[in-house]
Amino acid sequence: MFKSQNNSSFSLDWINQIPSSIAIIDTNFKLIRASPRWQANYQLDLNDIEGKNFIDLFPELSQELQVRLKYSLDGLRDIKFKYNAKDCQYSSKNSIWHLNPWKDGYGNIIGVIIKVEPISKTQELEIELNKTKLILNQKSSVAKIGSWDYDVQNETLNWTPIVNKIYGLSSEFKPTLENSINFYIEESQEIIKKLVSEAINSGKPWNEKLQLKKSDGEVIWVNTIGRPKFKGSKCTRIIGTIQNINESTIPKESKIDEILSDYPLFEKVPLGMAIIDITTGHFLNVNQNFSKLTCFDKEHFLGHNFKKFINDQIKNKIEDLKNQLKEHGSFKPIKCTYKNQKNHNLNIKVTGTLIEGKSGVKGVLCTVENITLQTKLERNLKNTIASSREKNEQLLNFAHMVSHNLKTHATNFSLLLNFLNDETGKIQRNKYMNMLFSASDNLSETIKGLREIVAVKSSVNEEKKPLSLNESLFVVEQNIAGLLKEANGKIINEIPETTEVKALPAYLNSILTNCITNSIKYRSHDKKPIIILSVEEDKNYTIFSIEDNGLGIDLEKYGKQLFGLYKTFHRNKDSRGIGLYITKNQMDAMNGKITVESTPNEGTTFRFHFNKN
Amino acid sequence: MKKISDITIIDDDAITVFGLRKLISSSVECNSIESYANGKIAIDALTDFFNNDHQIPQIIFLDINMPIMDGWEFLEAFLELPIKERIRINIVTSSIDPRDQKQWEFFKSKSHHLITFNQKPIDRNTITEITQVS
Repeated sequence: MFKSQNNSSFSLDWINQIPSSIAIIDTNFKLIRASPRWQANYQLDLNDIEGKNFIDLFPELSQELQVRLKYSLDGLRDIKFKYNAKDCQYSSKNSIWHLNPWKDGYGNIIGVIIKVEPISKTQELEIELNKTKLILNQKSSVAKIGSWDYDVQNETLNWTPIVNKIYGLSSEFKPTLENSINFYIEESQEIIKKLVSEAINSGKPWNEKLQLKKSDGEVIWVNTIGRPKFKGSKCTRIIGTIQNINESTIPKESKIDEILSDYPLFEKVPLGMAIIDITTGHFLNVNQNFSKLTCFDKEHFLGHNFKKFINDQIKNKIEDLKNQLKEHGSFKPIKCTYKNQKNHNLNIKVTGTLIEGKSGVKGVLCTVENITLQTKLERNLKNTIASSREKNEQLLNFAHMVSHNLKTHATNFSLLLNFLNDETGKIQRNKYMNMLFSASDNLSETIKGLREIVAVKSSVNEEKKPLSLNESLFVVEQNIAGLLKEANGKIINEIPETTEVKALPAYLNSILTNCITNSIKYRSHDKKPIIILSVEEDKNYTIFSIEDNGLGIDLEKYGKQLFGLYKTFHRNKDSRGIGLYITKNQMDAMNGKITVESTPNEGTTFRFHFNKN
Repeated sequence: MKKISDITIIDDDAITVFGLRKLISSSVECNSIESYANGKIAIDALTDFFNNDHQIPQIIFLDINMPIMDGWEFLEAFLELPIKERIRINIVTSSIDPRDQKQWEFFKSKSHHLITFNQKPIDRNTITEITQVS
């Protein structure tokens, strides 16, 4: 040691000559020499400090400095050390100390040469950056922030291994814009696509919380940040980060328990119940009755967004329900349908109330009630009411019609009798007598019509039976043969021999007679009447069609009145306005229906739908 | 009594037409009484009169329940003819349906013609009263 000291003192005179700021210490950190510049820098006089412990001169730096000096003594070259002026008493200027081992002629390390260089701006930044990077790396692995870089022109995406971790992917996974977006759940996908396109097209950065479905199927919340970079007017890159924020966003099991503890009857109420997180829309819990109703396990729902399980009918109402919750703390019961796992379509009634756990977690407590049976009964009741209302209406119409028609005849009788009473001339009296007879005939005719109608209404309870359509037609054709011949008409029958309809024999006869007679009665004046009879089958009905080439009916004008009582649409002496009214009533009584198509002056097609049941 | 030039009866019941004719001709003086069996024939004839500057009948007796074109449909078509004179239209019906009453009120309110609603039977006094030029 002594020797070296001698050597060094001998060879250290050069330090006084050099313009740089240099200090030299030995292996015990004792200051041996310092250049005049160094002494000026730190306003120290070598005479005062020579042989003193260098580390003691800079107590503020002692720890870091000691470590680095030791490294240097171990042989590490060019160790940079930042001297931070604000921390120290000697110099007001920041600088960088370059530490290098001081070697003797044999290569032995005998001390450290400390060269002080004024710090440049770039260097300072570089050092800051390295520091930040280090901190960031540590932090990001703690906070699970991954960063990524999308090259817009080449459409390539690179990301850090943490992103793979967030996605739950192996490190071999090659990300593309498309496959990385596909991991988001459907709704989030739409949002991120929009954000990317906005960033590229209008330079808008984003910061959004979205839901990501990891490769193992777990859905997590992530915070994604993106910043577009432009070259000129073109977006060339987007850089950004992605962070798993699931822990902070999704309430943990304990929070559910906490909410549940407020509702100890949750499992015991005889209703399906569910708690949904108001912010995420996830099921927090469902009770046993809920599982029973849906026929799915609890696990089918927990942690999933409720929107997955509802139909569009309700999806459209979500906004309204949210508003109701906001305003009133609950929403009015809504009815909807739900298909459970056994494919049963259920009618359910759902109510919802806003609840809040002790820690402020907000949820919606929903009850779900199966009202399928109730709905069915309700529907039956409504149908019954509707049909009795219709019957009432019919009855009232009927009463008006009857009274109207009978009154017409009654007034005619009294009118004629008054005339007869006042008249003395025999010829005139005879004339009145004849008119009275015709009035009496009219009255009989009207009453006959009414009896036909009453007959339809009263035989509703008779049993329907399968009848051969062609046999019934044959009988009817015999009866109207005269009428048909007189009109020079022709019936084309395309009905298969085997066709049967379920009907009351008297009704079927009446219906067939009525519609064929109508086709002949309302024939075109310049065409021979042709009537085509045919049959179609569908699931519930045997449909008998009768098509003619007659006058036709303006359905736009008369469609509503077509089956009304005493409605006639053609000037025809024997139109009574009763036929179609009765036919309609007969078809109704047999649970069938009539449809009609017609073009004025071309013809009419009536379709009689005979119910198969 | 002021003499009436033309009267028209629109009714499909021959006996009613006969009775009205007799009652009218024995109660008031008039040039002619025409009758039509339904609204369609009547509106065709009256439109023809109007287009050829013939005299439109001053008084019309109108039935409601008629085939092809009923009384209401006739009224609707008739009110569309831009006739300046005030015509008296007497609806004569045996209907007691309140819906017919409503229809009458509706037409009465939207026309400058005088429209009356009369229940059958009509006696001589009523005929005299409603067979005056409006």
